[in-house]
Parts: sequence; C-alpha cells; structure tokens
Amino acid sequence: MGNIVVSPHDKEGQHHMMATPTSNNPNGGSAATAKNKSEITVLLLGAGESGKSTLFKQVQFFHGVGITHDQERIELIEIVRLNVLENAKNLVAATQHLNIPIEQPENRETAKLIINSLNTNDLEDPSWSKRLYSLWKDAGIQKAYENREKFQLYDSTEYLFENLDRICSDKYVPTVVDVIRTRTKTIGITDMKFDVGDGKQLRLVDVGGQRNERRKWIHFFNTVDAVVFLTSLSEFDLNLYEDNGYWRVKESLRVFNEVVNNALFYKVPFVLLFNKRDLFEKKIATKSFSKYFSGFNEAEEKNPVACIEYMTKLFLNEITEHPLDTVSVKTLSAIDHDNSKQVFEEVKQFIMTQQHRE
Amino acid sequence: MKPLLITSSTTSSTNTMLQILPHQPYTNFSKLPKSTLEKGQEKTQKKTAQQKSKMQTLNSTQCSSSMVLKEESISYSHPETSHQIISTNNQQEAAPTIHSMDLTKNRRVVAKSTKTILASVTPNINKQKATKTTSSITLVSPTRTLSATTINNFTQDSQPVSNNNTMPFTTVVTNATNRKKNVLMSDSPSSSTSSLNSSSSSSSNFGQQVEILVTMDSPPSPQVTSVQKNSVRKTIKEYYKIEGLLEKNDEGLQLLRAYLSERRNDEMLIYLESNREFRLMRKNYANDVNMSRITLVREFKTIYENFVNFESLTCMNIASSIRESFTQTLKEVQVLSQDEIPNQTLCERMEKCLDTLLFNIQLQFNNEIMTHFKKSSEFKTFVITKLIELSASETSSIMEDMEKTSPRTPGEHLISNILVDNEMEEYSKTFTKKKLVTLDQIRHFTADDYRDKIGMKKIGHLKRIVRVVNEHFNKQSGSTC
Repeated sequence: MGNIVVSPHDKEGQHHMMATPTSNNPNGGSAATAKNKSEITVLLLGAGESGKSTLFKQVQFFHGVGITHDQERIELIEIVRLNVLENAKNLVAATQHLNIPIEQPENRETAKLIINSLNTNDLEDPSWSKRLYSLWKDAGIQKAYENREKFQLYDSTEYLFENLDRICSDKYVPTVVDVIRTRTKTIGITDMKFDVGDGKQLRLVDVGGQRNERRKWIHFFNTVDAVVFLTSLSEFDLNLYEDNGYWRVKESLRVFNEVVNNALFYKVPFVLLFNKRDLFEKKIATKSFSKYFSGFNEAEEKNPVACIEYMTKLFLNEITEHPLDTVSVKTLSAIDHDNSKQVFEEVKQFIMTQQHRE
Repeated sequence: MKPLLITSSTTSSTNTMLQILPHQPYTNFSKLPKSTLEKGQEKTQKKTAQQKSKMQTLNSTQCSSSMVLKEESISYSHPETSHQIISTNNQQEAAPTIHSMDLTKNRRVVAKSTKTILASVTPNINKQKATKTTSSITLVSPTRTLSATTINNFTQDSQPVSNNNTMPFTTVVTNATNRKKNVLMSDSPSSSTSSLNSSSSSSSNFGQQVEILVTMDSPPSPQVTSVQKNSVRKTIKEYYKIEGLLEKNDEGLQLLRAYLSERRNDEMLIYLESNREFRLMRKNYANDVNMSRITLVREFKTIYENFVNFESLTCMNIASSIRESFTQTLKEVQVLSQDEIPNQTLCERMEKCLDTLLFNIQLQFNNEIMTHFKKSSEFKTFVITKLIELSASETSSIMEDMEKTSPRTPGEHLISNILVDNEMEEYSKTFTKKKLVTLDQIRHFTADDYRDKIGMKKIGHLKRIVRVVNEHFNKQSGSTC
C-alpha cells in the first residue's frame, strides 16, 4: 500500500508517513481553493453509531498508522476502561428502571460501588475483573441486557465484559480489536490520506453523526468526490442516543434522503454501506424484525438476506434525484478486519472506476 | 429490465447477491423534503421513471446466492414510539436538516451572541476582575451528591423500587467528584513519574525532549533544580487539561480556540467558558441567596437555549437523558414569572442538570478533543516555547530569590558559569567528573593543576582560567569591602 499522510492530530513520525500533513481546514485546504484532481476526497457519512469511525480506524490500521502502534493504543487504556464502566453503570441503572432485581447480594454490593465510587483507576486491580464478571453474569443484569433496546448501551458490551481479565490488569495494553470495538463518540472532523496509484491520493474524512455534528458536514460538501454512507442494520429496534424518543431507522433514512438527493452530490459516486451485519444476524435470531416493518413478510424475518433486501429497498426508495448508476450498495461488518479490508477495497475500486468514467 | 445487484462481502462464505427489481415510483411525498415537494409530483415521477432504466450491475464476482425481491408497499413503524414513516406529518420533531446547514455559516455570530447574552446577564461583573479571580475557582463543582436517594433505594437488599423512571441511563453521576478526579488523572500527560511524557511514540519523544530541555538549564544547585523542575512541570501540565487551559486563559486557550474553530467544533469550548462565567457570578452572589437563585435561573435558561436545544446552532452532542432532564426542569422554570425566586427543590434540580452536563462535557472534551489537540503540531510548538520561556524566567527568579535570601560567598559560585562566560565550556564535564563544582574548590589551583587534573593543554586557556578565578575572588572581596 502506498504512502500515508495523516493530519497533525494523528500520529506523527510513523514510518509510512509523508512529510506533508493533510490540511486541518475542513474546507479541504488546497482542495477548497482549487480542485486538485490528484486528490479524491471521500466522506464517511451516516447517523450516529453507524460505524463510520470503526471503518476509519480499520482503514488506518491496514495502512499501518494510528492504532497499529502499541504506544498509540496505550493512550486508549482509559477510554476502554471508561467504556466498561459506562456499560456497567448503564446496565445497573437499567435494572432499576426496568424493575429487574440483581439477584446475588454480592453483585448488588458491586453495583452500589459501580454507581457511587468506582473509577477507571480501580480497574487496574485484577479483583475487579472477577467482581464485574460476576455482576455481568447475574441473572438480573442478563435480563436487562436482553432488553437493551429499551436503553442506550454500547454494541461492544458483551465483548468488553468477556475480556475483563485482560482489561482489569495493571499491565493491560489494549489490542487492536479492543480499540476497534471501543466506542468513542466522534466530535468534529478527522481525516487521513493515502496513495491509490496513478499519482492520486485518497483523502478519507470521518465526521460525527449525531444531529449537532451533522451541521458540520456542509463544510465539506463542495469539495467532495465520493460519499460513503453508513447505516447500521442492527439499529432496527433502537432509538437515538441524542433523542431517545426517535427511532434510529427513521433518522438514518431521513439523513440518507437529504444527503443522496443533495444537488451537490448528483455527479458524485455514492456508496451505501449496511454495517453491523454480524450483530444484525445475531439480533434477528432472537428479535422480531417484522414487528418494526409492517410491510415485511413475517415468515421471512429470520432470514438475514430477506431482511437486508428489505432494508436496501427502503433506502433505495429514498433516492429521487441521484442517478442510480453511480450508487453502490454493500454490506459490512466493520469490526471484522478482513471484511472491512475487502469491502473498503471494493468501495475504493468503485470510486476510482467512477472517477475514470468522468 | 436490468436488475440491481447488491454485493454482500463477508469474510466467510456467506457472500450473497441480492437481485432487486426496480422500485415503485416514489409515492410517499410526505417523506420528501419541502424543497423536493415544491418541485412537484410530476417531476419526481419522471425522474424515478428515468432511474428505472438505469439499473446498475455491481461487483458480483464473489456472489454465491441470489434472490428476487418482490415489489411491495413500504411501511414501517417503531412499536415503542409509534413513528409511522408512511404518514410522517409531524414535521416538528424533525431534526435539523442538511438544507438548514447553511445556517452554520453564522456560527461565529452565534458564538459572539452567546457572549453578548452573557454580557447582558452580567452587567455588574467586571470581566477583568473575574479573570483575575479564576485561579481560586473550581471549575467543576459537582459538590452536591446527585440522585443518591434512588441509588440507595436500589442498593438495599429489599431490591429495587423504581421510584424514578426518568433516571438517566448514560449519566448516573452520584459521586462526580471521584469520577472527575479520575478523568483528570487519566488525561494528564502522565499520571506517574514523568509529567510531560504523553504516551504516543512521538509524544513520548516529545516528552523526552521536553525533559532534556528542563535538565539542560542546569540550575545552580540540586535544590534549585528540583524546585524549578517541579514548578515548570506543574505549569506545563496544566496546559494538557481543558480545566488548566481555561483557568490560565492565555495563548494556550487561544490556540485551542483557533484549532476548534478551524474544525467548526468550538461549541463545547464556548459552553465551558460560559459555564465558567456563570459560576463566577454565582460565587459572587454567594452571600445573597435570592440573587444567586435568580442567576441560577438565568444560567439554566441560557445554557439550555444555546447548548442543549436542538434548534441552537451551538447545540452540543449530548445524550438524550441529559437533554430530557433539562427539558423537564425547564417546564417548571418557565412557569416562574420574571424575577420570581425559585424554591430550593427547583434550584437543586437545575444544579443537578447543570452539573451533570458539565461533568459529561468535560469528560468528552478531555477524552475526545484534548487527545487530538495534544498531538497537534501547534500545541507541541506552544508547549516547547512555553517551557523554554518558563525555564528561563524560573531560573532567573529563583536565582534572584536565593541571592536575596542568602547571598552567596565568592567561593559558592559555580565553575560552570565561569567556564561558559569565558568560552571554555568544553571542560565542564571534566570538572564535574572530578567533582569540582564551586570556585572555592579551585581557588588555589595553578596552571599545572589545570593541566594535570583537568587536562587543559592550551596555554591561552590555562592563563585565562587562572586569571579569571583570581579576578573573581579579588573582585568579590573588593565589592564586599
């Protein structure tokens, strides 16, 4: 793979890096002033928690920057542990809200400590690994977890609790998978560049997806060469993080409609990525898909392919202005390194082909 | 008609190809944005018909199965919230649209207007004075224990009694102070030995570089070294946290502001600054309960309107639970007539909302903004500049203080200083190796001593050092006489 250029807020001094950092200017620096044909700007768009940053981290990883390096990941210890604590707190709070008792007295004691005083430094003590794991396995917590669509919980909850023995150790260094699966809400804009051959560079821009963050997208719209829109398949039973009374699918469709039909993107290659396929397949095994989509054939609701087809159709029906021959649809499991690499390669090829056609 | 193929790439052999027939013309016009509706149904149908003929075949090399999707009417709803997409008439709940994004061009104006709001609320506060007093103010002051009752109820063996259905899920802050400490510790460049070492590879190099810069200053005595290092470290460390930057309110904060403005990401900083101003105001009214409560109401409304309300251009990215608690409390606040003093319970609720928000924003800021900002070249350059500046001024001030409190005798002066002043610093290491530090130790050295013990060979150097040492003692004795 070619050279990588990362912006100043990414790591410097990496062996792949070129001397020139990307512009910090959201307008794209030089690209904003004079359209540089040697640079292709690709925007990762989508509503909150659709997996934009996860894909971005994966791309960084397979280009040998960012979290590839131990030192970079060590910086994220606190964030991983904070994820554990927040998940634990949310679960404990949910048992209260849903009126589900925590069964074991010692787990109730643990819950009390989690709510009142536990902090990330305490998780260096390996004894917390056992206590938190015991709490996680408590029937009350498990019941709350089964009802997780009723409150906000990170997708990585199960993974983090299953890896507590590593995380709650004073010698803990997050693995690449830990970092990929850690939820960090993106605020503002992050970008990276890498060579794609023919003397061209691809500039990948990651943005925040929540409502207030979407206001910042507009600053990129006039410099964009391709859009990758991500939506989460597994969000069909969830409400928004920023507005708990609003269904995530509805939000995603609305944002997709606004982006894909935006006049600035008429001639821009557009990729729709249905992310979290792995979670989705697990979820529909236990949850009813048709309950949320009255037009969907109930008999097919355990068939992921049929469900994805239906979702695809929902989204494609939103396209009223954009020419369909410049739209590509794919499914993705962004936490899967190989799958991300393969899909991103396909996306890149699609964009490059469209660029050549132009 | 060509089918639309959708590739599904997975690492396993479950790759599938979906074959989708052209979709029906767009019939649900209530879903369309207003601007699209204005273009008319006819145009939309025409466009859709054109698209039907442009079905796309995508990469299908790894497809292993295919199926045909039948045309059917699309309607879907969320069972919990009864959102019927097909009959979306409730435009009021719509989030800010992409079409409305142009408004963000006025972002800076809003930032200014927020300042104006603050200014209008704070007519009696002298800003200069406020800035000066910041050092004594704790920015984060979640001193109140939040929602302890519900937690205690829950943790009793009698099992949970859900007496508060509105309890926020994502932010149960009952002992914010503890967590705050943790955040600060976690965010500090290093919570262990080296305060300046951040943990990335480049930052780590940078940390070492900074460390070297500190030690290079070679203060006159170990005592001074320690004092100076600690003091400079402490000062520099403060720049690594948003709390420190806000408190210092100097070029470091300006740098952060410029960095965030460039990324259209300054709403949290504006909020933190507004919050700081309001807390100062409330502190000033600490002895006047009524004024303090009125200020609290103003603060609550201002923060809601500018940073919590979705309609605001400086609305922050916060959890719905926080927003909900604000909205519920606001309903009670709005019932109050102008200048009506709220009761204790309402004040506590407002404070709880504000504290929870502040805690969460600081957490986000330190975890998600400062981590990037600390790695920026602008910040690194700033820290190095600051370090050099601080080290120089600290050394001179410490030296001056030491001279004032306990003037040194001529013999206590350092050999290294004499060597540097007379362009013979290449011998510094040799003197140090021989444990010769002060001039007293070499007062009676002859040229032969310097040649044999130190290894000075140049006659010019030998003559010069003998002369300089003698002059030093003669001059000092003369001045003391």
